[in-house]
Amino acid sequence: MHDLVIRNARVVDGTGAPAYAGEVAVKDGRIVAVGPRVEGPARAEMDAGGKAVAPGFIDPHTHFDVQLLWDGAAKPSLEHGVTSIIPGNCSLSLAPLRAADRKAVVGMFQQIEELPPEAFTIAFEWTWEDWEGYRRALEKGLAINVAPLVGHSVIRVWVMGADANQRAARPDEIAAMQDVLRQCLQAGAIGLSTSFVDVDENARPVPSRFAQFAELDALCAVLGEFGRMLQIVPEFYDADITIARIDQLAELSLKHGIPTTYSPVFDNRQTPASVDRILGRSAEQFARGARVWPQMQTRPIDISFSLLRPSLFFARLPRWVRVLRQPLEARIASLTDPETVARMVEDAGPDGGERLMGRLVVRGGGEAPAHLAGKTLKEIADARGQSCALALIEVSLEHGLDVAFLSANGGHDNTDRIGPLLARPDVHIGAGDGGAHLASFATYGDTGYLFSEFVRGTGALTLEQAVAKITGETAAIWGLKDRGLLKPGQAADIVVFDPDRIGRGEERPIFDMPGDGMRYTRDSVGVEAVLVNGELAWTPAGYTDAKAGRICEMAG
Amino acid sequence: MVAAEVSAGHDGEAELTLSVRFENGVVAPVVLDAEAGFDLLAGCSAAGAGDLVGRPWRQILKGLYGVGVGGGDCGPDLGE
Repeated sequence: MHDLVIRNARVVDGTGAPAYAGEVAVKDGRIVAVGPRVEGPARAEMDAGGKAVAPGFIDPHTHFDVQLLWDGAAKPSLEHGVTSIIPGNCSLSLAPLRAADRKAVVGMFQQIEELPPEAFTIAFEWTWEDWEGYRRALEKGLAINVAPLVGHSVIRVWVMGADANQRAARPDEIAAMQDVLRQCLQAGAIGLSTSFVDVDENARPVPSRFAQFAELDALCAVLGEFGRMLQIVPEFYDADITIARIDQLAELSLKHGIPTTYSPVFDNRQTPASVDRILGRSAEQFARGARVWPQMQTRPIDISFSLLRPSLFFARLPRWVRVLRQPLEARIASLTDPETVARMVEDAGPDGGERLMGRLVVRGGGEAPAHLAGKTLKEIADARGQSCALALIEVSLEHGLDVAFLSANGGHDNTDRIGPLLARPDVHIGAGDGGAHLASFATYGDTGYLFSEFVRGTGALTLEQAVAKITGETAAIWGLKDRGLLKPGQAADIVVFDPDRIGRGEERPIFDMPGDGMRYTRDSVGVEAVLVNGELAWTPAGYTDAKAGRICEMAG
Repeated sequence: MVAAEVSAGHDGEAELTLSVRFENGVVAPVVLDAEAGFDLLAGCSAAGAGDLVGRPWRQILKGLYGVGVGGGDCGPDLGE
C-alpha cells in the first residue's frame, strides 16, 4: 500500500519532458510510481486540482549555515517550494571550527549574513568542532534537505590559526588542509567553497584570499578523489579578472576531474558587454571538456541606502556628495541648515528631485516609520506638500537618518535580455544568497520569480524547462543522489504549485531573528504544498511538525 | 574616463561604474564600491560623478591611493 498518492496532477518531472496529466505515488519517503494512472491503494490521497506537481526546487547558493541550527526549515525557503539547499558558500562554513577560533569566524559570518550577535550566543549551543560533530548538530530537527559545502577560509583557520588571514601556507600546512578537507568530505560535506572577494567584519580579506594557487590546486586534488564541486566567488566586478578565474577553474576542472561553479554573474546597463564575455568564456571552456558553471540569479538587484552612510546613489549630485561625506554630526548639522538644504534641493533638479527620487520606496524595519513603509517618496512628498528631495531629507532627519530607501530594479532587470541567458544550457540558475544580507534585502522567492517573469512573462523558458533548471539539472550539476526528478526511486521531495500564479510576495521586514533581530523576507505565492522526503512540510496553512529533512547523499 | 554612472552592486549597494578609454580605443569598465568611489571623488576634488568625465585614468589610482602616479593634477590629460 502506498503512503500517499497525489492525483489530478499536472506532472512536470524535472527532466524537461512535456508535462502530462497523471499521478504520483509515495512510500517510505520515496517516489514509487509516476504516470498517467497509479495503481494500488494508498493510506492518504492528495488532489492536486490539476496544478503542477514537480520535484522540490534545489537552491545551490545559500548562507543558511547558522539559521539551520534553530530553524530546520530555513524559512521562508521551504514555503517557496525549495526542498534542498546548499549552504557553506563563499569560503565560509561552521565547521571544522575550534572553540578558540569561533569569534573570528563569527565575524566573517556577521559580515556576510548580517545576523545579529544574539544569533551566535543565545540561539544554539556550540557542541562541535569537527565536521562530524557539526553534522550531528545540524541533523537535529531538519525540515529541509541540506547539502553543505565546507569553507576554505575555515579550513585555513583550523590549520593555520591566526596566521590564516596573514600569509600563504607552507607545504606542510597545505598537506594538513588536504587531510582536513578529506575528512570533511568523508563526513558529509559535498564540496569546497572559496572566495577571492569577501571580507570580514573589519574589512580584512577572508583567509581564503591569502591562498596561493598551489594551495587551491592541492585542495582540488582532494575534491578530485571524490569528484566533488569547487564553488568560488570571483572578482565579479571586473569582467577581465572574472574571465581569468574562469580559465583557472577550467584548468582545475580538467586536471582533477571536478565540476566548478562561480557566482555572482549579473547584467547591468552600465556594463552591457560583460555578461556576454563571461558566459562566452565559460562556453569555450565547456567546449574543451571543463565544467565551469556560471550561476545566475533570477531576481533584479535593488539599491538600498539611508543617509546614515554615504551612498553613491547620490554620486551625480555634487552638493549631496559634499554633505553626505561629512562625519555624522556635521552631516546632521548641514541637513538642518536651511541654506544648505535649499542648495541640495536645487541640485536635485528643477522638479525638486521627482525624476531621480520620486520612485524611491521607504523600507520598513529599523527605525523606519511604519506608516511610511512601502510608500513612494513621491507619495510622501505630495502628502507633506514638499519636493521629493526635501521630503527625503526631512523624513530621514525625523528618524535619526535611519530610514532606508529602496531604488528598485537597479540592475539585472532587463527581463527580455536576462531570460535567454537563464535559458542557456550552460547557465546554472542560482546565486540566490538565501540567508545572507538579511538586513539589506530579501533573498527569497527567486524560484517564484523565475516562473512569473521568465515563463509567464517573457516566455524565455517553458514551464518544463524552468522546472528542470532548478531541479533535475541542479541535482546533476552538483551530483546530488536521488534528488531533482519525479521518478521511481527518487526521494519524494515534491512541490505542488499553480503555474498561473506562482511568484513572490512583496518584500517586508520581520523580526524573527534571535534577539528580535530584523530581516527582510518575501512570502510565497502560488505554492500549494511542499513535501520533503514524503512528508508534508508546508501548506498555505503553515508549516507542519514534519522534520523529514536529511543531509543529502552524493551520487557516485 | 569617458563616462561615470551609478550602478547596482551585487549586495544592493550603489556602485560607480567608470568607463575608461585606452590608447588603442578600447573602452573598459572599472567598478568602484562606495568607499572607493567617494575616495576617488575626494582625491580628484570632483564635485560629482559627472566631474570625472574627461579626466585621465591615472586619477583613479591617485584618487584611490592618494599617490601621484604620473597624471599630474586632475585636469584633462591631453597627453593621452
